[in-house]
Amino acid sequence: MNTTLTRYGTLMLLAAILVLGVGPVAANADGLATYEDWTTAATIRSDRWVGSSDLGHERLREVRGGKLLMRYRREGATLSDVGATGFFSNRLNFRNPLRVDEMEVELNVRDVSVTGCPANATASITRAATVDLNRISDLAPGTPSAPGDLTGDHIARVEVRRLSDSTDPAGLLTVRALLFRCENPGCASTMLVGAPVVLGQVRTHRWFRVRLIWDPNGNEFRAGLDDDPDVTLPYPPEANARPANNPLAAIRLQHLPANCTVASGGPTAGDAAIEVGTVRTNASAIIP
Amino acid sequence: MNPSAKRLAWTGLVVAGFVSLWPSPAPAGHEAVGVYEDWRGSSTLRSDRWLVREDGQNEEIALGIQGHRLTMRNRREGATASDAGSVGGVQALLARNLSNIDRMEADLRVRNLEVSGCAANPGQTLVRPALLAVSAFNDGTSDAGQTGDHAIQVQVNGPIDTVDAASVLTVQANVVRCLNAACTIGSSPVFALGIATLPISTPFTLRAAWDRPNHRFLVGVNADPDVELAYDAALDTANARVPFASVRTAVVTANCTAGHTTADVEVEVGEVRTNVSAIVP
Repeated sequence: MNTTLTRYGTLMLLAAILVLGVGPVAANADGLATYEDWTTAATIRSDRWVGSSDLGHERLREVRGGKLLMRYRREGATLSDVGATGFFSNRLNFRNPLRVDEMEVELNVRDVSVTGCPANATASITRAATVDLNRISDLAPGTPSAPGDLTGDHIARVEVRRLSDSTDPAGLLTVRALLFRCENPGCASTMLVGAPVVLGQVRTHRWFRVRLIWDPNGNEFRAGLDDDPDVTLPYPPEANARPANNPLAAIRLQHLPANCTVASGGPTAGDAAIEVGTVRTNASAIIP
Repeated sequence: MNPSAKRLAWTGLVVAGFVSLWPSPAPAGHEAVGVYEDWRGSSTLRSDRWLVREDGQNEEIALGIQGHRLTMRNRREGATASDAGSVGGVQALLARNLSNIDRMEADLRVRNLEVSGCAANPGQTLVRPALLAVSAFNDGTSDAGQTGDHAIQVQVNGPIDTVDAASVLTVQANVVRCLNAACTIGSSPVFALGIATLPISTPFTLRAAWDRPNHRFLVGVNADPDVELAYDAALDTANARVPFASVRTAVVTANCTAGHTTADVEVEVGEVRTNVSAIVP
């Protein structure tokens, strides 16, 4: 019997974070329609979604009871007390990201924990959820780019995160919007385009909605939390020199566990479990 | 045993070190076997013992400890653009041992198994509820990475295209030689088919051991006698460049224009035993 299993192993490692303008605008996403409510099939539909995950420990990506459940847990390395080994994700990608210009996702963080290392100045980061949209690249048209190479691609993100050194009450997470440029093929190195914008805070076991909208005519992304006004993530026109080389629209859990030797109390760990409710997009992205 | 080369689905891995527990008797000349993991010491996976990797494309996946067992599940649907070819998804539980696992046993039970194939592209939709694999040696191939690494793999095959009340699991073993640096493809110069036939829902134990002094691998199921897979002693020129020991689940779905095929498997992993020097306390 011949069987070739496709190997698929790209780690999306996103390091820095940052940059640009932020200004409240009045409009929320109009014209959004239901892309997925997890009721048309008992399992994740392959015509709508593609799953993948990085090296780690416990993980879950399943439809149960009309909701998508996702969990990802990753322990950190114990070889040193310096820095972190990288970001690790469990992700569910939209099947046709080039059709997705707008997305709104209902989320409920069921559980989150993130531990740091007393001997390591780097805090562990747990992103219980991110909503990502990668549609543009600043590479000049015609510049060769290998399949999957993210260099020059710009990823807009709404993230729901908690850091190990957070002084917030337990169960409280911060929602931020940001736009960054990938500086290398795997996007392990990034550069912020503008400064991250805090959209608010959310508690575990409470439903909330996050939004991400691409406005190519306005040279900006817009992001929002619940019914709050959207904020803008503008980019210079030259950032949209051509379509993203590795376009994506995704929902993910992501951890950056700090390195920590056993003598210092390691390993650190990030663990998050979420429920994903209705996912809405622009109507043209919908797959019936 | 068949000497003809056979290309296999195979995914490369990596790993780290260990120590002891209850040793059990082992064949003469072999190190005793003890409990590497019983899923009782921690409510979550221990990163000093395990690392988990997902390969290929699975829509649904689950891996977690429930009631002193590890549950592993992966499910994928086939593409609908053609009636040719297939795509797979794998979930691998990797022991974190860099070099010294040469014997591994795992208690397993299939909790659920679904297969729905394609009439126009038959024979390609299947599940492999368990693949127990242990790396061994390199044959001196000068290429980088895993090229030339050899491993023993005990593979449990589920029914193909459909499952019904008469379906059973069959067990085979392969000596796998990696053909590229990442070992995404391999050949199987030595293999043994028909090692066992098992009811789908009955718990079973797989074991694999490398008997280096005698240039052979020994594999077995439950209390059945070992099956020997001998190899040419001249091939063993060095340790495997990328040592590993793993338990994996795999699904493969045929492409099908009539509608998506499905392969879904959920397995319970009980106690895992290794040679005692590999155990992490």
